[in-house]
Amino acid sequence: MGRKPATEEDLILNHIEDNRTRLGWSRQELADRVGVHYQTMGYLERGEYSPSLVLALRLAQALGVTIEQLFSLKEETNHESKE
Amino acid sequence: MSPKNEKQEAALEKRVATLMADTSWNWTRTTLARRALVILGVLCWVATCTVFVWSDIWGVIPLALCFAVYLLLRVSVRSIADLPDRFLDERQLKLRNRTYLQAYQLIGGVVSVMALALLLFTISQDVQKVASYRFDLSFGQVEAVVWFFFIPMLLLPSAVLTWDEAGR
Repeated sequence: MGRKPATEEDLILNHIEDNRTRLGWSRQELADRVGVHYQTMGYLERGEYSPSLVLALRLAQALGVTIEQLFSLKEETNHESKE
Repeated sequence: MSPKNEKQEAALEKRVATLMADTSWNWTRTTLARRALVILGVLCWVATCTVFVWSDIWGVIPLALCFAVYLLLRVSVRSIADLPDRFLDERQLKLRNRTYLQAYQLIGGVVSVMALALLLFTISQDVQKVASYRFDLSFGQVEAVVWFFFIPMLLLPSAVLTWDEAGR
């Protein structure tokens, strides 16, 4: 028996909140711009939900950053995968 | 789309928008309230079936409570379990689909238990050399059987969703 595999949510680091606050937007405002419920935005910001590629691209577009600036793999994950 | 359908669609859209932005029912959305609602739903289900076994009439009281709990459960999770796909975002859709899988597994368990009970009953009758099986049921007892299946089908999707959301 190995360790419990990490979920997608455990592997991804996001900077949605940083970028949103930089623009002075509320969660509701960003949620409306990308077409999701404001609760979903909370889950996204807390890293409890991994968006689809389409939603990730919409978020990046709305926040005016590239997708790589918004989402990245966590450092420790990179090390694990190299081993 | 006909003008009548367009009107209905617009009305539904308005209702969904109100429901999604609603904060007046936030007291039903706390962890404690959500857990309490699910437990209350289960208790009302058991009470409805039990009371109808003994009485044709008094079972309507827990039954009415079941419907009240059902409405509160729906409000608690903003009807995510019942809304058409086009009104849900991708997380809500994923959540809804997972909920229906879990609800299906649970209802499968309930139906299996009843089927097994029926099988055991017939076996016991065979062992006792009963010539033909008889089910002498009163109207209330038939109601108990009906609600035993119908209430979980009604409550389960919203109840499972509410329980899951309470844990977050």
